[in-house]
Amino acid sequence: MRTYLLTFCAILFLGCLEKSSDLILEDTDKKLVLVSILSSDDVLQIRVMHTISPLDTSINNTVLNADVKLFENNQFRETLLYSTNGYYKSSSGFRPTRGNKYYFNVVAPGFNSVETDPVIIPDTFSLKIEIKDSIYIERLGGSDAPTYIEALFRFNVSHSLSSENYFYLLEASSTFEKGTSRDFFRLPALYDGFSQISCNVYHLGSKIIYSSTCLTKSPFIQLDANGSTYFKRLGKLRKIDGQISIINEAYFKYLRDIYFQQLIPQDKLFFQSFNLHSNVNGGIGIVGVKSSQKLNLSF
Amino acid sequence: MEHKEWNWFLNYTLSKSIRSYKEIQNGGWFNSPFDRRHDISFALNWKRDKRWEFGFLWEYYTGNRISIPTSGFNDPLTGVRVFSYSTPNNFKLRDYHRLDISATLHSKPNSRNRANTWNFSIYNAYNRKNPFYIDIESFGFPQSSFKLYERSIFPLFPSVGFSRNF
Repeated sequence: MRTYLLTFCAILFLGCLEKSSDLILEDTDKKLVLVSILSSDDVLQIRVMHTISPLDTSINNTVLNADVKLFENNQFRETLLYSTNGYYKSSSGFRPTRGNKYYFNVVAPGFNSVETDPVIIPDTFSLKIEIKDSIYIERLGGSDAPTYIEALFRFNVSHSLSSENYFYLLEASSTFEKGTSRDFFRLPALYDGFSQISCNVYHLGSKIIYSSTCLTKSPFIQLDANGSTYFKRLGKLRKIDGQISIINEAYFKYLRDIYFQQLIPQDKLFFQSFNLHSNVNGGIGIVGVKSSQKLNLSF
Repeated sequence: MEHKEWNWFLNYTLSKSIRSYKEIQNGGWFNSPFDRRHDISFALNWKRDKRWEFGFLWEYYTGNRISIPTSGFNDPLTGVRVFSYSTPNNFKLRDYHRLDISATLHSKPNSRNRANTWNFSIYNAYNRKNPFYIDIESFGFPQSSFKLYERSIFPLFPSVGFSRNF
């Protein structure tokens, strides 16, 4: 008993000796951040921001006075103009052309000029989605457990691109019509292996929509829509909306790295050196390529 | 070195520790977490007479290295706050140094040849807040803001010791 008491007093005493002081971090590595996902279906636009101190809570880091030049097949095409929400857009409503190569050159006062690696919009593109099987299950929970509804879909996806350096991105949300109470989150499933991939869309409550993102190289994609109601009132899965896209390797690596960063516990996040893939030379960010096809499943 | 009642020593180490991995920073060199450029220790002991003895110990070494992001931004595609690191172990904690002083009083042995010794010492005499580790607190979800704290332990720390020879 005496030993325990002494140990307790020693720990208490040593704990009292600890002092702490705030640590101020400046953004010592200030860079331009460029983010743009090019698609032949959308008007070309690019987000131009700058990095901020890791401890800075502000989110307004848009660069408003940048000179953003777009190059197509190594020829200057046009200067993009600032539009809204931090985006610079093509004034002519230009949409990237399939098979062409694009890159950006951005100059902004107070920053080093940056240039992105060239990216090519896939030329002959056709995406084929085939539902292999689907299961719709109403599961009874335990005594106090809510009733679950699970809808499971397996897709076989193929595309016409010959290159190996393209990946699949599935973004999905689903709608349940009944139920109440709370929502919960689940991190999207992102893998770069060749195994079976599962993407989850979870619900708990009335018409709560939670989007899930799934990133894979596998042509075999599994989507789980999992809804639940409280107090055993059965909800009903009404529909699943989504899109399956083909993305390039740089965009894939960028999303994968962000996902891995999210997996790091918050108390360790600051102290684990972490690489974010970027194809912006002299800056940070991503210029990716995406070609999408809609997915609508109604019940 | 010894000069009658004076004893002292001085140690100095100069070192550099760097690492390179093919998978990190494209094989570039970066500082090891154990990169400690300077390490100095100086000790002085003065035996004033048969009863009193005084000691001084001063230690200094370059601060340890840890990885801390140099910048960040909010990714518009995912809404996640993303951090950017220049190199691993890019941040050097403040240098460590402290002074310990002590005074020792030897009593005369009694008739049964038993002697007492009293020791009075102060650890970290000038109350230097040496960094021990970095702590982080986050507020909001997901990762909306952070605050970093530099924690230090053992400020000025007096102690008294007693020993008896049998």
